[in-house]
Amino acid sequence: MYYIGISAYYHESSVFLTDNNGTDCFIKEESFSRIKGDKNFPQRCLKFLIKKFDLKNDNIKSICFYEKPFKSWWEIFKYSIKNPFENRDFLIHHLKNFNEGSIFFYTDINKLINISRNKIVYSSHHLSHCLYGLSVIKDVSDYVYITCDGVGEGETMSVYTIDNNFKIKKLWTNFYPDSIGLFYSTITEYLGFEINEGEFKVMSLSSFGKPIYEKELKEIFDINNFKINMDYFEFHKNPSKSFSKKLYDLFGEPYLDIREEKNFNKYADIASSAQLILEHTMKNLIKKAYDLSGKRKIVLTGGVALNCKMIHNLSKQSIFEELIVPPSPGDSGSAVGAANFAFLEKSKNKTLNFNNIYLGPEKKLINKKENKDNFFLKVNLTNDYIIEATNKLINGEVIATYYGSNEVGPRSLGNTSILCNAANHESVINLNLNLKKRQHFQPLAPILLEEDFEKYFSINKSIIKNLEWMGTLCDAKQTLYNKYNSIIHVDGTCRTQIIKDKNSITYKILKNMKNYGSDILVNTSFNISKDPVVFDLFDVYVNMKRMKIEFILMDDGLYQTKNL
Amino acid sequence: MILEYKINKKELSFIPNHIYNKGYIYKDHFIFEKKKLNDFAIFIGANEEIAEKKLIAFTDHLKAHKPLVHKQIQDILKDEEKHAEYSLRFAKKNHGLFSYKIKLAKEKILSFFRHIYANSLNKFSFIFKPILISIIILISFVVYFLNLKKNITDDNVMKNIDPNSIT
Repeated sequence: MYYIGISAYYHESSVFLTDNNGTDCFIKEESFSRIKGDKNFPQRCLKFLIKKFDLKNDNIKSICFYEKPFKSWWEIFKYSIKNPFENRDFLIHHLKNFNEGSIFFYTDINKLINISRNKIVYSSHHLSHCLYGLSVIKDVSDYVYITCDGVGEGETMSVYTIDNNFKIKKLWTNFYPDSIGLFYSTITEYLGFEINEGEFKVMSLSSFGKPIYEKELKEIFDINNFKINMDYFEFHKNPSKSFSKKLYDLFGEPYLDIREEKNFNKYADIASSAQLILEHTMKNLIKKAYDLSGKRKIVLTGGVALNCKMIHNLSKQSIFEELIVPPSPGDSGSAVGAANFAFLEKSKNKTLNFNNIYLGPEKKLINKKENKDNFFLKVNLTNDYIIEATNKLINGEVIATYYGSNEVGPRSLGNTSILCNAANHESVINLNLNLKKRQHFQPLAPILLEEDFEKYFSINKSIIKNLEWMGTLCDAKQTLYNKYNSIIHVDGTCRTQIIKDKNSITYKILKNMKNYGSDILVNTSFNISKDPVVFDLFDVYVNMKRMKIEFILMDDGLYQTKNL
Repeated sequence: MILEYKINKKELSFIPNHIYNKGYIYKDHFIFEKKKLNDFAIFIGANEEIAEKKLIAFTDHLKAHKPLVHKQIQDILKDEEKHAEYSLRFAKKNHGLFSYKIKLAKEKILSFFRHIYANSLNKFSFIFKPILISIIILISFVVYFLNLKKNITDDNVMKNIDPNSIT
């Protein structure tokens, strides 16, 4: 019997299917529609799952939506309707979109599969985040669970504890519009980046500036009481713009061209200041969670937790014993949390078992074998394709990887990646700017074996687990500067990933690289900037041609693209 | 808004949801999933031609004060021209001449009505806006007297949540 969790309508739509017996399948709608961050009802995902797992009413135990649809719609509406005339544009927009959201989730599901009404359940937004957090820990009662995001069902911050019988307590909640997530998103929009997409660019940009606007931003967001000053915001009254004229008056013109040095420096300072406010706020939230729960081990979820620079800086302040951010802490990962809710709701005192972090489908489930033969030509001449791939990397070649199961979070962890030798400066720059078409201030991430980590990097032990899925930054040591200068961000940090699994192809390549005196690869997701990560072999072929990447490493060998 | 905030400097993505309302594409499918290949070719041919004409009008407007953007759109136009040409050539080859002409004419008429519908949306909203505002004012009165409370804490979340409820 399958449990299905669904997250949709507001951010990246995703579906997670599990039988809690070794079959797990997490997929995002964007993988099929090829629309980055596709938030529509995940009908293509569901059609795929229905076909692959022969889903029907009889073999589905529960389908769980990750939040309460009406509550989610209403809580935002309720705030704005306090001033109906002033907020009329937003209210009209919100009212018109009533039937576009998740209210009709059951109807949407039933168009695809005839399912009994009692099998459809609804979790709560922050609870789904919290239950997803359980996928990466063992002793649930040792932790306090903090969720912090833009807004979900009117909640912006929550603190939970869970005992060994899975009795869940909510210790504290903060409500819309007092949201540090919305504050950061507004700054993102002010700087000219897209909300929900550009926040990580603001984070990267912040390393180039100085927090000279800290005082001004503290007037806008009260870091001690978690209160927002709505004079600077318009997200409650304007559906297309989140900041008000007052922010415009404070910092000057928005959307300046950051290719000009003067603008770049100013925007870097604003980003740096916003980053500092975020970190102070999170520090206070963690302290509050400790006061309420007495626990110093933390699982942090919600979109805000994707800010790995914040995680890194917080670790230096000794305010927790351990902090874990699961690989996909945002709404997309909540599909896993929703499935967990469905399971817990039935079993009462058990949650799902998670054996690894690669919860996506295996590549062989996605593709037909003939597609591989149609598009690619096997090029490894010897049986040891690891050696041949390593040779190519050492010679400065950029290689795509497409093996194992797909990753859950926004970061490719080696199974669906593009790799190049981190010691080869030209390859790294070419990959970042020409192939991936990223901004110059966004650094690429290194990947290396766990045993080599301490040779090049230092990190506080309290956040070390997050390195398995690039969930945090770490500091570069001098040895890294000497040999791998091009992967270090301007502030001396790297978003490093360590590989532990000795059976993985990535591990074998890294191990083999050491024979040639190189032990770090650059790992970036297999997509062009603003496109979704590749899913099937069609995407792989098209993206390789677009990026002019010739070689790809798959489960059974090294392949080259054919010229069709 | 473009002039006030220099929105051209802001990163913008194409989000199809915004044009579902205007009747251009199907909400639940891509056009190519819904139409047969020959009909899809006609659709592309007819609509790319129309899009080209619209873009020409738009670029003429930009030529004087945004020469760079004008040039970029000119490049896009060349692509549009090619798409239209190839699609129509394909459609012509795979339909009889009579069937091709009928289907092309039908697609152009449909496109004409789609544009009328899209352009009239603002006028419709002009009519519906006062009705929606009246509804909002009514709800605001109800909410004012409702005195809704929020739960800051919850001692047993799983016990107190109704899994079948959407509220």
